[in-house]
Amino acid sequence: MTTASSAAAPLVAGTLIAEQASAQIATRTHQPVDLKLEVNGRRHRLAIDVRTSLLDALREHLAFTGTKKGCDLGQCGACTVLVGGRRVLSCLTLAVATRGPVTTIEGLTGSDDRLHPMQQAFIDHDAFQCGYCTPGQIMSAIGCVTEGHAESDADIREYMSGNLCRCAAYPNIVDAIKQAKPQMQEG
Amino acid sequence: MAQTEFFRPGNLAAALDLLDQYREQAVIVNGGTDIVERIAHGGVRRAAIIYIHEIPELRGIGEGDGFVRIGGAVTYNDILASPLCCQFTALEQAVKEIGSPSIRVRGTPAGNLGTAVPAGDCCAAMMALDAEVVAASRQGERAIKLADLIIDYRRTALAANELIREIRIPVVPGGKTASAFLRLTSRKGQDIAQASAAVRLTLDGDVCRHAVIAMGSVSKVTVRAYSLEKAVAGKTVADAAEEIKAMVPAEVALRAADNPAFAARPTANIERQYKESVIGVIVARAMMTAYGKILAGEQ
Ligand SMILES: Cc1cc2nc3c(=O)[nH]c(=O)nc-3n(C[C@H](O)[C@H](O)[C@H](O)COP(=O)(O)OP(=O)(O)OC[C@H]3O[C@@H](n4cnc5c(N)ncnc54)[C@H](O)[C@@H]3O)c2cc1C
Ligand code: FES
Ligand code: FES
Repeated sequence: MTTASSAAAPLVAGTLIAEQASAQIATRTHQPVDLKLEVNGRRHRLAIDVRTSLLDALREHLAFTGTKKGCDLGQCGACTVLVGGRRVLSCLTLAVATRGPVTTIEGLTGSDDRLHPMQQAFIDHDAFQCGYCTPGQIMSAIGCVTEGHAESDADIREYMSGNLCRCAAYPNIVDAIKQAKPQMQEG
Repeated sequence: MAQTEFFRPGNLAAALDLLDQYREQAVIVNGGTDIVERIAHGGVRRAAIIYIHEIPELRGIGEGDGFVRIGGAVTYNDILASPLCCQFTALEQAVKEIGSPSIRVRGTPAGNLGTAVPAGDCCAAMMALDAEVVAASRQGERAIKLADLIIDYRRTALAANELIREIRIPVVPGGKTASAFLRLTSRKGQDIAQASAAVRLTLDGDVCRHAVIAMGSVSKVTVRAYSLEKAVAGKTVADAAEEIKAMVPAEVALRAADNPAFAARPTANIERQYKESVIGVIVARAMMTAYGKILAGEQ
């Protein structure tokens, strides 16, 4: 890591450790970049091409294969994760541009192995069939509640509209979110 | 293969320095909803990725000199949360249609203009609203009208060392003017326009004094429908709407000679006939919506 004063100066290789880049200096990252990524509460270090999507970084480099690749084009929502608690499409995000801790479906279960209320609600309401879209649905559903978009069925449907389900579990997904919402807000 | 480097300039000056240094070898990443997929899949290969989405100077929305000013990294969600932006009904309606909430949380109007595809909903809305962009480079700034910005399919008039610092929409005194956007898609959500229209209508009593009409997905670029603008001027709104419903505007360009990419599709002929038969209706409906807004006293 080196610092210099021109705009093109390398500053910080990672992203999580980078504070807001200072006023005068740009952050440059070499290829393959040495990236530090916090995933599910643990810090990971990986050497990746700067063109790698967050989705591929998670799946191919860190083996968090719970996050699914559906379209790889931003259309299906299967790759949804939380970054800094907010919902993000990991296929449309460059891994090096990611700021803030990442939570994937693997990170929802507590150390006591108890399911997250949203995971439990999906089971209780049969909110999936093949399950391929489910990790993305659950991450979006958590974003839906925490970002305050679960006030009505219509609200939920609108917020969840970027998450496609070929098995058409849609009504059950809405029910699951309604069940999990008060539980999430309590705990 | 040459190396690709990633830059996260902390401010506008640093971004402009980088653009000036790398020029054609640079690619700007903003919300990334169009370009990241192309970078990750190798469709776009450049020496430098310049990530501008978090530059504070590009994230503001403000008002001044008769314009509403929208920063070059303002997102669709920011627009929907801004009464200043939502006074322009055409913009609000276009943004609400774009993608899904997951796209709108990242995607930006500047990126929509930067991509410059004919189905870009913001391109049509901004064109009807007579918007311009402020293109910034190390050498200075210039204003470019939307119609001059979009020069060809996926091509803008921006120089390689320029970026869109802000988009400016002129504020037209309320009362007699309103705008609307309408698009036709095959599905309700997550689909791009088969045909779209944005209209800014100015009334004189019950008569169209002036209309600015932009159309999407009927040519290789977003186009102004000057022929319709001429046809409606001086007529009552009802008569004008009736007349343009049946028209195929001269600016619709869906023949092979105009658009080779379009002609290559096996369904091109059917698509062309479909678009030609619906576009007049879409424009007429958008115009009636704008008319309704004026009657209801909204801007
Ligand atoms: C699932 C999905 C659905 C979509 N639905 C729609 C839709 O309904 N309607 C629609 O119009 N679009 C749609 N889009 C396209 C896309 O979301 C928009 O075009 C968006 O506005 C792009 O903005 P961005 O910030 O993500 O741009 P990016 O992907 O970051 O950039 C797009 C292009 O613009 C350039 N650029 C970005 N910002 C600037 C700047 N400030 N100055 C100069 N150049 C710049 C980039 O270099 C790049 O070439 C959809 C995309 C997806 C993935
Ligand atoms: S894989 Fe990201 S949206 Fe489909
Ligand atoms: S459960 Fe099969 S795609 Fe949703």
